[in-house]
Amino acid sequence: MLGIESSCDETGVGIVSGTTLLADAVASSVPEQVRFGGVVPEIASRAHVDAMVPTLQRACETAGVSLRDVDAIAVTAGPGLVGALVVGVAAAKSLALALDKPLYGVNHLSAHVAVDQLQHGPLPDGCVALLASGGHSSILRVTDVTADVEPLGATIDDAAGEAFDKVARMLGLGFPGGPAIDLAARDGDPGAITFPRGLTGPRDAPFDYSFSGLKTAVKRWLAANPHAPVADVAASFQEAVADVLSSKAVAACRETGMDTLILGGGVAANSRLRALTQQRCDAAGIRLRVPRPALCTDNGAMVAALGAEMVARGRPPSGWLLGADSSLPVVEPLVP
Amino acid sequence: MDTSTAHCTVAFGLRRAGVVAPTGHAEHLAALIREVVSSMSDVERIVVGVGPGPYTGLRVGVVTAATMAQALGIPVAGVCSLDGLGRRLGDGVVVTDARRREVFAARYRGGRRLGDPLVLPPAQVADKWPGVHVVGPAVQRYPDLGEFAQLEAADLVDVTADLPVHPWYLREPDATPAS
Repeated sequence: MLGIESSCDETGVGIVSGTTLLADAVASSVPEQVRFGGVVPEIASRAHVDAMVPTLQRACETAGVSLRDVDAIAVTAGPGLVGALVVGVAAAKSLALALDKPLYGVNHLSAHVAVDQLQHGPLPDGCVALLASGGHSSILRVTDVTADVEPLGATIDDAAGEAFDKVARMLGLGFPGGPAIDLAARDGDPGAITFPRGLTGPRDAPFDYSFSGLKTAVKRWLAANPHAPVADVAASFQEAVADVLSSKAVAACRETGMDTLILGGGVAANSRLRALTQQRCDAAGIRLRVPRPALCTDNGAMVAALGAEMVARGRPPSGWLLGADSSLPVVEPLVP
Repeated sequence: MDTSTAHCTVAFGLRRAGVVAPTGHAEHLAALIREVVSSMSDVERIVVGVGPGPYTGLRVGVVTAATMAQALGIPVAGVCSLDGLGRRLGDGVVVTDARRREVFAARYRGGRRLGDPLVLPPAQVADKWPGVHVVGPAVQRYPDLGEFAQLEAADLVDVTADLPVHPWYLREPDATPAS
């Protein structure tokens, strides 16, 4: 199964055989985005066009297969940036047509869950997934990653990764903000400043997130304390995000009776989120599964992993009129 | 194949297929190719219109052509999307909709393009080329320009295709570097 991902700023082509990873080639436009301090959709779309064929070639070389050996094609149909998505969808449809193979248009969020099969084996019959990235912050109940995914909560404003990017910019740490804050926070005191934990009141939606207020709180605090140590601010901000992400995910496991939690998305590469979630899962008797960082960020292998699961579970391929859907609902793992 | 305008158009031998879908190129292109090509192994060469044109649709054609050529192991080349109609027109100006109240335009004489296409407001076409016959899809939105005609992929087959398989954007991306 060959999978193509192009929903944001990474062009990914992955090749898997069942739950075995054969190749995971990624080309990123982040270096081109750095000078703009964030993802510019038109720049991402242009980069996908330039990277698509070379990334396909690189994946085939790594896997030691030719395109003709591929049995089926999967592609992220949404959600994401529409101009970026259509590049991957066009490439996948073209391959499926030229090679006369079935095509599966799949959901980016389900793919972030399915990718863990490549590292930790088959998914259990039910689990909770916490997906946190620059575009998403969602808690899902996953009964069947190919057909039955239910949203339990999501951010009502900024995504967690977006908050990292914005706060990193305030601190002069550059883009992308996640790795920069993670690094800066290592020398800081996470308890130095108590930043607000959004939507944690008794009447708030138990599994929704809000990071907009946190971002504003950091901004105000910096205005009042211009000479504060960057490391302390970074560590305290990161603690607030990791605290609220992990506590709500663990609460969702308890509420639904699920004993497995899966982390995914670029923010799942954050060291503090991984450590704190592990600690809380251990205390609650929940099994935590976190793919390695390269599989957490956007990549083609996750799309191939979900495509392979679609085949394994006998799901019908998508039709020839498959398009990109920038707001594809999470309850739709496969586009007909 | 050409996806540089709202007309998503494909031709193979004498067969042709097209659909007018301003934002639906990704949905329709592969299905249109299936309509005109019964066996992909019959395809020996691909020619794709590389624009200029609105970017999202344009990219669908370019990426489809490049990927298909890679999968089939056959050559692919780009052609200015306006050249097919320009060749058919012989003498005149071809205009396509560039959105943002502008058009892409190129001047043809004897069916050959004189210089690179330009992007300009429709009102400036007559100033730039006074008295010259203007034809193209942009006339649908700007009827005062001249005569309406769609771009057809079938017209591209006979044009010398020597451009890289890369979108001819003509505009830089709208983005301001962070301070």
